[in-house]
Amino acid sequence: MRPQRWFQLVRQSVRRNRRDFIFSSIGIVIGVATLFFFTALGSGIKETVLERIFVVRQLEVQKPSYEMGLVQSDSLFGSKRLDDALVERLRKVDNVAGVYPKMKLMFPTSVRGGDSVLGKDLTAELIADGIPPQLVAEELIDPRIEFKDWEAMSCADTQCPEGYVCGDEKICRGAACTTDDECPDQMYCHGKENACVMPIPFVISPQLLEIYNGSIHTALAGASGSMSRMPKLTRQALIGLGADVQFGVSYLGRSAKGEAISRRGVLVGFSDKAIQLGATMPIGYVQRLNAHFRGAEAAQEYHSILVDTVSNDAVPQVAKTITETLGFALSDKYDNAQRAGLLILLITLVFNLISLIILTVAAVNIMHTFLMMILERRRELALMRALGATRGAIRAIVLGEATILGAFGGIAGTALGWVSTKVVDIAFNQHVGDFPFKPDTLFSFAPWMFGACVLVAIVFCWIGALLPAIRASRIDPAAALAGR
Amino acid sequence: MIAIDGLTKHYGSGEARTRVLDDVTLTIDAGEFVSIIGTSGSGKTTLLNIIGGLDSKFEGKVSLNGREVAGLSDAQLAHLRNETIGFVFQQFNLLDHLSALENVALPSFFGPGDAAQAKRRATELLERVGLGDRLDAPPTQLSGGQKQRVAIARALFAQPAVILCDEPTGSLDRKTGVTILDLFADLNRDEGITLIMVTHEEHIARMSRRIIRLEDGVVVTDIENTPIDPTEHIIAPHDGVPA
Repeated sequence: MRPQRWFQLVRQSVRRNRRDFIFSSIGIVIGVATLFFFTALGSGIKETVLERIFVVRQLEVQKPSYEMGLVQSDSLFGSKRLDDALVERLRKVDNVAGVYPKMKLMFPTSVRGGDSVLGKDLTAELIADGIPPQLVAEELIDPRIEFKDWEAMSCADTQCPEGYVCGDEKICRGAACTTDDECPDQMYCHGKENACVMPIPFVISPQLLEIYNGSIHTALAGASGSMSRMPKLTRQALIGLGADVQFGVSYLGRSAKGEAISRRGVLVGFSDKAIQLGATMPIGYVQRLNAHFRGAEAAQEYHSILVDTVSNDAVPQVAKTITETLGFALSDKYDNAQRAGLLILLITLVFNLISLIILTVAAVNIMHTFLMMILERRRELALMRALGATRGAIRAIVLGEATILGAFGGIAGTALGWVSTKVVDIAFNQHVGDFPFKPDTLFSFAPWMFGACVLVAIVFCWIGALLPAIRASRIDPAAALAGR
Repeated sequence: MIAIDGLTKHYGSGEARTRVLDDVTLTIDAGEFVSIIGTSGSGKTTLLNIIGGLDSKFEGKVSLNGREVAGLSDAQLAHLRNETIGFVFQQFNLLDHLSALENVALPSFFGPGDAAQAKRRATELLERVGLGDRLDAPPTQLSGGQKQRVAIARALFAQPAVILCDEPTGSLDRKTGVTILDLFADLNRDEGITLIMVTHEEHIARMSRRIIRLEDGVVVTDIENTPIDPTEHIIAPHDGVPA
C-alpha cells in the first residue's frame, strides 16, 4: 500500500472516529504536558544551579592541600605552583576552552564611599581579587568605563586614548595634570602623581547586592540615626558608583611596607565570576599592587585558575587530567556541582517517571479504545482483507491511526505544558520574593524537548495500539464477513 | 481455471470438530457461470471462501490459474484477492462513511494505480451499473438494489477474472434481484468473467449454465443447465417459482 493511499485511509478513519480519538487522547495530552513541564523545570533549575551557583563547566584549580587536626596546609605540595607555566599546560589539555588565572590582593585594603546612594560615606575593609577581563567581557554590556587594565595599554602599534601619552616602555601612561579639569571625562588628576588616571574598574557579585537588600538593609532598619534610613539598592543605582580605595591600609592593619596607595575605583557591573564577598578588578592591577607591596615573587603565583571546558560532558575528563595527571586539586564547587547536578537529575527523573506512568495509563486506555474500535470495525477490516489488504496493511492502518492520535496528543500536550510553564513563571515572579540567584524563569526549553515530547506521545500511542493492530490483522475475514 | 481436488474442511476441534466439506473435487473453467446450491450449512459459503482465498485452512488442493492457493503467502493471497477475484456479498458490505464512488474505489487502496485513475475507473463502473447520478451518495441513502450494484461495481473494479457471489439477491426483493442477476448474466456473456454464485434458491441457480449441489459438504450433483430468462421465469405474477 502506497503511503499516500495509506494516509487517505487513516485520515478517513480518524475523521469517522474523532470523538473516540479525542477522549483517548486526553490521557496522552496530560501525560505529555506533565513530561514537558517537569523536563523544562528540571532543565531550568539545573541551568540556574550549574550555570550560576556551581558553574559546572568551569573548574577552579587550586593547590592540593591536606588537613592536619585543625590546620589546613599545602606546604607538602610546595612545588605545585599556580603560575603562568601551569596556565600554559592547562590551555593544552583536551576540551579546555579557556584558562583564567585569579589572584587576590595580599595586603590590607580599605574602601570609602557610598554618599551618592546611601546618603553618607562608609568605610569598609576591602577583600579584592583580579581576573582576566575577558572572563566577564560578555556579561558587561556597554559599561560606562570598560573593565580592563587601563594602566597596561600598549602603544607599540596603536595610539593611546585621550588623556594618555605613550611612555618609554611603549605603555600608555596618564598625561600630566594639576587639576581634574585637565583630564578627559571619567579620568581624574591623581594628586600625588600629577597625572590623569582612569579609576580602577570593579565588578561585584550580584549576591552582595542581594545580601545587602535581603539582610543588611533589614537589620539596619532597627539601627539608630541615619543608618535606619538607608535605601534598598538596585543594580542601576550602583553601576558607576565611585569610591576611594586605600591599598596597604585598613582597619585591621597596614602593609608591611608601611605605606599606602590611594586610588579611585568605580563599579562597572555585576558578575557571578566576581569574588563573592568583595570586589574584583582586572588582574593586571592586582599583580602590580602585589608586586609593589609583597615583592615580585608574589605577583607570579596565582591563587586559583579557572578552567573553562568546551561542554558539560567534557568536565569529568578535564577534571581527571587536572587532578590525576597534573596533580592539582579542584575547589569544593566542583564536588558541590556534581552533587547538585545529581540531585536535580534524580528529582527530574522522579517527576519524569510520574509523567511516564501517566502516559502508560493513557496507553492502556488507548489500547482499550482501539480494541473496542476494532471490534466494531471487524467487518470493515475483513472487507479490506477481502479486497486485497495484507495483514501488514491492516496493522499499518491501525498504527497510522495511533500515529495521528499520538501526534495530536503530543502537540496539544506540549502546548499545554508550555502554557503551564508560563503561568507558573508569572506566579513565581509575582508572588515569590527576591532571593540570591533568583532566576528570571524557572524553566529552560531546548528545541529537542518539543520534538521529543511529540515523539514520546506517538511511541506511547503505538504501544497502546500494537496489540489491537495485531488482533486486527488476524481477523478471519471469512468469519467476520459471515457475521461470526 | 479453478481446480479443486479432495478438498476437506473442518470447523472446531475435539468432539466439536465438524466436517463442512468432504473430499470435494471439481473443476471450473474460465468464463463459466456456475451456481453452487444447497441448504443452509451444506458448506457452499465455505467452498466459496476457500476459492476466494479468504480461508486458507483446509485439506486437499485448490488452485487458481494453476497456482495452488495453500502455497501462497499472505501478501500473494492479498494480491490474488485484489487483482483476480471480485466478491459480492449478500449483505453488500459497503462502508457507510464512504460515498458510493469511494466504496467502489476501495480495492485501489491495496493495489496499483493512483487516486485519479481510481476515481475515473469507479465513475465509469457506477455509470455502467446505472448509478452515474449517485456517485457521492453514501450507502445509507441507497436502496438495497442500488447498494448491490455498488458492490458489483466494486467487484469489477480490478477487472477480475472471477467474481464470487454469496447469495447476491438474498437481501433484495425479487424484482431487484432479477435486475442484479441480469447484470451478472451480461457480465458473464459480454466480458467472459467467470461467475460462481452461491444460493439456496433453486430458481436463482437456474439462471446459470452449471449447477453444483452440495449436501453436508459433499457434491451430490454437478449438472449442465440451460439458463432461464429471469424476467420471464423469476418475476411471476404471484410468487410462482418454476421448479
